[in-house]
Amino acid sequence: MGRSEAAVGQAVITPGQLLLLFVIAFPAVVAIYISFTGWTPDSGEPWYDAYKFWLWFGNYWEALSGSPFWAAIWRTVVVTVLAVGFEFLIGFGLALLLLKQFRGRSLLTVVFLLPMMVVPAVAGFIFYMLFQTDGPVNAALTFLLDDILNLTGPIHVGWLTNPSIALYSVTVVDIWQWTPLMFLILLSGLVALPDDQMNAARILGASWFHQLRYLVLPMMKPIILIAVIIRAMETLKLFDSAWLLTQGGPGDASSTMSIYLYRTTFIDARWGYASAVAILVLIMVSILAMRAIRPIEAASQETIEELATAEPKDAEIPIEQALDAEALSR
Amino acid sequence: MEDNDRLDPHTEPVREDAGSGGFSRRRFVAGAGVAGAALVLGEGSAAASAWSNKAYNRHLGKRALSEGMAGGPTGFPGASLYQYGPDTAPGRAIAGLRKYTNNGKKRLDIKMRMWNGATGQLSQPFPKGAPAVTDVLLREANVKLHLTAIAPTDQITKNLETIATRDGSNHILVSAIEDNGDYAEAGLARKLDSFVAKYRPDWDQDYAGGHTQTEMMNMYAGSYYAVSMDGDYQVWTYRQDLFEDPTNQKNFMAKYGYELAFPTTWAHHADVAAFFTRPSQNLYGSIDLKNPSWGYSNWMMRYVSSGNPNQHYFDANAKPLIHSPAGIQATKEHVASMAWTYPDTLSKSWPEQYALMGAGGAAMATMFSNATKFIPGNPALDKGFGKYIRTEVAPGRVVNGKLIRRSIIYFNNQFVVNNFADKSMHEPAYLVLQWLSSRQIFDWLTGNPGGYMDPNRSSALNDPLVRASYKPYAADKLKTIIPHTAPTILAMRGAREYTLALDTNLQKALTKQITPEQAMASTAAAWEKITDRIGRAKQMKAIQAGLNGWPTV
Repeated sequence: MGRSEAAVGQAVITPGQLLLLFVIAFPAVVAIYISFTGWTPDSGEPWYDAYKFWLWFGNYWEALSGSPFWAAIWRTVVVTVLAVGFEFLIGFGLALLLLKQFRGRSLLTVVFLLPMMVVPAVAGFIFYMLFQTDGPVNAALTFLLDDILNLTGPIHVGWLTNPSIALYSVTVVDIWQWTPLMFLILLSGLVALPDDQMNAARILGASWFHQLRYLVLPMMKPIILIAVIIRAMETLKLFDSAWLLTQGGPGDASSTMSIYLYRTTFIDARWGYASAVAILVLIMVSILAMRAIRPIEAASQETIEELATAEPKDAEIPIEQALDAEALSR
Repeated sequence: MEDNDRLDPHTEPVREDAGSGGFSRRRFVAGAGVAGAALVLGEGSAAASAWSNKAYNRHLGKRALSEGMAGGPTGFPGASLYQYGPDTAPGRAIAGLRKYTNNGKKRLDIKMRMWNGATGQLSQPFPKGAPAVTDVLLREANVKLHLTAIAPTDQITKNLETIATRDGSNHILVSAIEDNGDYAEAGLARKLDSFVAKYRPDWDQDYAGGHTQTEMMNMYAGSYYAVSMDGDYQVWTYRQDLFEDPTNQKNFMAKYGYELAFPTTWAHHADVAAFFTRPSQNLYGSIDLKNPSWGYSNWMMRYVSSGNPNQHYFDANAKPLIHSPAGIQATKEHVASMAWTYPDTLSKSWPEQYALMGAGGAAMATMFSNATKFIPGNPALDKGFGKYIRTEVAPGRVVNGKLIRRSIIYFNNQFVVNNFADKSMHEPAYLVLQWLSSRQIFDWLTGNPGGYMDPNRSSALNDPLVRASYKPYAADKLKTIIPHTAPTILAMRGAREYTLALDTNLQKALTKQITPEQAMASTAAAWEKITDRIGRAKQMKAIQAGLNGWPTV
């Protein structure tokens, strides 16, 4: 390629690159700028004059030194760990069940995926109705535990109004709605596992548990990590259903980070502080994501190494080189 | 006479009272049926729509408007009640608007953002044979009002977006009574003082409660910023049949030693509420809202009635007063009131409350004034008990020998002129609001069941359409309730932030996460932080100016 051709190419893609940079960088730069100020929309000043309310790291310090921020972080972590944990266990179990061909498998797969297709706000409304004290959940529990088993009296659990329970009710909705996604990703991974290794293990007499422990889980590791990371990222942003169920209450008992940010932004109208909190969350999530990606890279590396060791010893070219596209092209 | 000429304020002056025309209020009340039939037959809206605008205007000019009237709705019995002369608030507004439309020759488009549950009162014809409010505006001034509906919960979000982006695409924006201060300080709400002086709206003369109501609803720091088109007064509803039942009366007397009646004090309320709380019969004593964003209003009624004439939220130095014994007592009572309400009261809101009241599931509840408009006779809500619903002023306390009873107003459809809209549109936008909020037009539209903009005017409470819609006994009682109404935390910047801090702590107290004392102390500490951040001097000035909006009855 000649120099002039390269220049033309650069000229053609530069506007696109600048636009992309603008789209990505501009909001981030504005948020960072505002986060250092006490600017709010009701200050009467436009955002670009936010410097008039310059606070340096005041908002960051207020967030990091105050209990509401950490309480919201803690509640978000609790929801995320519980929701993603259960989604994985249930999703993986369902994927294993539906791995084999049987009559009605397709129909069941579609049924399991249905919750994922429900708009989160609608899911929130459905569970708002279910979780009423005189609603179907308590009625079903009463029927089972009281009417049939005679273990308890009538059940009157305040699923949405008891501050010790409300957060877990919100978690249940997330589990109900997003287990299907986990199921879908894991089922795809399981279907793609190489048959020959599984068949070989079976022929050699490996039990179902041994196949799972020593073959399926190691081979599924990258897929599992990706599924968990995707769901964790999404759960950290949980808002719609939680807002509909409890609005973060009672008090702030179910106020996750998104709800805390929403209240700070649209009720308190403290956009400078909200920007600082958002950036802190972004930093925390980025660190977590980087740490989470490491196992994926390690898992990929392990797979490559396993492939390498599986090659015949008398091969003329080391497997690493064989996998190297450049080496192959040479 | 040309239609245009009739709107010239320099033509023959006409008394503002529609009764000066050929169809007076008294005559309407006496013989609406006969006269109405003739008018309906003569001027159905269906017929009107088939005509050309020009022919229809000519028809209206010659036949429909009462003598001396310059404008207003036509086509239904009693329409003259809502017609007006040229030197009236709506007449002046129309005359002002016509200057912007080259005397009606050039159309002017005005965009108005409002709550979705209220648009029907502007866009749906009411009563039978009448035009819609927007049609009359188009006809008289050639101003086309474009309504953009949003959910009430989106009001703040949308307005904050408008502020942040300096968006001037809507000329009129819906607001809420709590937001006057924030929107004024943000530069979103255009100061209306010059327009008010120029066009002289009729708010002071006709608001039930007079200038105090104007101060409370439309003003911030001594200036006009908003135009109220609602009356979200919190009224206490009760089931009359329960209170008049001889068995209940006898049993109550036997248990408490005094006669059963609607309670006038909070202590009395506690007895009555406890007496009627019978969950096994699906009956609850007092189903006041307790959920986030709504429930705090009930605490406020208990709190503000602790002082004579009022217990304020702040002192003159903007120091919070809510952690005083009055605040703690109100919180203790608020927590205790959980015993008399239905399960899940912390998550249920007014739709469930209205439904339960209509189903006869409660003896008392504090509700919006439209409870008697929307429940009785509404098959979705009224399960046979709507006819028993009556309204009262909130209970109160005896302070220094005087019984202080206080309702509060909150939410409330308010409208502001968008300061970011083209400057040339500020005045016409204001004029539309003056016209809509005028006695004649607002009385007419509040009678319309197509929305929840409620009456706030003395005239409306005597108006036949409004009385028919809200029920005469409730309209009469509202005349007493309105002068007893105190503001929520408003007329100051950060009102919502103060309120959220209070609301969150009240919720924690209600669920026993903290004690009433801790709730008030925590709220007071949060309020101090907010005040310091916003600026104490600014808040002190706003508090001082806002004192004029407090009741003295």
